[in-house]
Amino acid sequence: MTRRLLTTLLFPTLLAIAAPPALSRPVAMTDADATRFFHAQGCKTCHARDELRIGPSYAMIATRYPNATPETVERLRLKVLYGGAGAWGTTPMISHPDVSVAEAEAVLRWILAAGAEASKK
Amino acid sequence: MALSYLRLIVLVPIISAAYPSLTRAAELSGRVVAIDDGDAVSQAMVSLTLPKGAAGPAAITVFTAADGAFRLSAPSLKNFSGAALSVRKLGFRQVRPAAGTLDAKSAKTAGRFETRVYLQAVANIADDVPPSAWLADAPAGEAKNITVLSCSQCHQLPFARMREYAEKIEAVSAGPQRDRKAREEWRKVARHSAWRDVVKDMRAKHYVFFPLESAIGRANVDWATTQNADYNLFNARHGDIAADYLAQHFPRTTAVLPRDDYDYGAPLGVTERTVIREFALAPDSVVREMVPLSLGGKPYLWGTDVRRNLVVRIDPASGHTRWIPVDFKDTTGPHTIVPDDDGKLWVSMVDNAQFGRLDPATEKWTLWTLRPPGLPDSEWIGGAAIVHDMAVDTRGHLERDTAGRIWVTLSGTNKMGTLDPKTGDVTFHEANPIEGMSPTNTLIYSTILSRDRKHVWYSQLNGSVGSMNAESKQVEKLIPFPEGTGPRRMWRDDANNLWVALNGTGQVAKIDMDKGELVATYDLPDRLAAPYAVTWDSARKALWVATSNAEALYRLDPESGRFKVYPLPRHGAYLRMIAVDAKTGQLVGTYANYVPTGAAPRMGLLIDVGD
Repeated sequence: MTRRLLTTLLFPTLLAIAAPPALSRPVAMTDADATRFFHAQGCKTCHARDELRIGPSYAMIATRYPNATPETVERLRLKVLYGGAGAWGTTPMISHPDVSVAEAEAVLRWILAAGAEASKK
Repeated sequence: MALSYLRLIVLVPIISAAYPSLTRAAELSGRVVAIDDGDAVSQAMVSLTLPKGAAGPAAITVFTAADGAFRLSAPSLKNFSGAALSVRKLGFRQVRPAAGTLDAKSAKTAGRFETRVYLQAVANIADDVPPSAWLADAPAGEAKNITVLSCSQCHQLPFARMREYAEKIEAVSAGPQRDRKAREEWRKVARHSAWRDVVKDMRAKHYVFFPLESAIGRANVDWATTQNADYNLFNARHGDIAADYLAQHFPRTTAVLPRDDYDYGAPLGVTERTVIREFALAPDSVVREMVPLSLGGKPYLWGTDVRRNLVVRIDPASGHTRWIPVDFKDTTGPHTIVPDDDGKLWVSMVDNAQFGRLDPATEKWTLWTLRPPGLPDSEWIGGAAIVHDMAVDTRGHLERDTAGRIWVTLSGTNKMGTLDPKTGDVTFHEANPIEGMSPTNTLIYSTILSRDRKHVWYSQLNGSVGSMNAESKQVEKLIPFPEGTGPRRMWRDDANNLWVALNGTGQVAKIDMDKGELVATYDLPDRLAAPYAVTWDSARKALWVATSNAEALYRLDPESGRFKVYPLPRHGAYLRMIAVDAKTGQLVGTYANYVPTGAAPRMGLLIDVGD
């Protein structure tokens, strides 16, 4: 009985600790959440929904990565966290060490969805 | 017997409260030794980080004596459990115990602990040097000065993320393959393109200068407006020059800097009596300036949080911070803070043209609007007055002209303003225009009254130093400086000399206000230090120079023209202003990089010079 109880309590905890970040459940971001995030992290100086600033617009990103697979999301998520160099020309993207894995994944899903909407217009 | 114990139990806390000096503070003493030769390391920086939640400063830094010995006292601690110790000396690394740990033995006397720290000489000092080290060997001249001036207005040059960005440019993998020559040519183009994009990015980020929810803050201004160089702190030409200079001369990598490639440039002024106390502030604050002012006989530090529309009061004994909102219906952006002789605080504000007086005892505000007529209706950067600095005397107290008016600079407009607090009358007066610069680009900055309070001097960051007659309001004198010099904060000494921090060229200027002449310039020990402000110290007959890029404070002896260096204990130590406490001789300041939350320290400073 005690063993079963311990297993019941401990197993999910251990699973959560052992789970790699990529498996964390993505939290859906609302437009307001995304706007706050872009403002707080300084994303908006380089990116906009459908305006070309320094980096690609979200519509361009969504057009480039339609029907994104988990691998694509993973690749883009790493770009948000660690920055990038050369995917969209010669200007690198800076890293964002303060962004969590879950935040990066959530914002990417928002970009791919909202960008796809914007690209249809 | 029982009664005696009872008396003791009651009396000890009472005595301790009444006489804090009788309560024993934890004391740590030790010695810093080089393992290479066993010699003592003098003037090493010994920093104790207090356990989280401990009362008082977040960190206390002292320096070693000639024999390597140091001693520090932590009044709020009984022992050093949970505290961390780090020792730094340029050209060395800490080997034992590991930096950030503390291996202290209890001494014979209660509350006293001893330790020994070992350093090792290193060949690579990349992790230890201040930002100014990285462009030290880049060609000098106007382009360099303009670059230093343009970047250092908001953040250190190079801020850590600039170094990361530069390395990323070199990692861009597109371009011609297998042809080394063609690839190098392509990379030159890539560098130019990337740094030009950084300038665009910075133009947009300029708007972080305003408070978080401001109508002219970064969240609310459209992209096209952000890219309008006339509304920025540097014009289009200076942006191009900075981008080209960085593309050509920014180091391709900053992982290695040989030991011989950087030194402080002047002797250290720190002694075994120097103590730097750092007080933690809210991580999302940007507290630009801080001044000492007692309240009810108790010393406090007061600062302005431009990002969150607050004034902060720090109790140095407990480290407790009290955040006081500005009593205004909209955003204000408190910027410069100055005490007066009546124990009140005067605060200029960059947003909504506000200028205020705070009564520290009641926390009641009196506010005035200093908005010149004729500005565009919209309160955006092209139409913002940006109330910036106010005239102060030799002690840093508010000073008024002979008619009782307060003088301010309005950085959005290239105008001077006056306020008569008794009547509420305000007036505005045009300063000299600078060719090729919009009013915002000109960036009129600091103001000081002459000793007779009849002439008001002003600095323009992208222009001249000038004076205006306080009665006729006519410009009387102009002292031009070459482009990129960057005359910034000014201060008057006891002999009616005006001292000016030259932000772009790494110098200070001395102007004789009686004659209206530049009489001397002094090269700083590190010409890339980006001096932000100067402060005259009447008691010491010395000039303090606060730097943005050198992570150090300089002390100039005007008689000899010699400098001494006081290194600061933290990377990201971007100073804007230093105030001198006339009672204690202590120096007060803050770290105030305009960078994202978490990317730079947010701390108040209280320094015992140790002379």
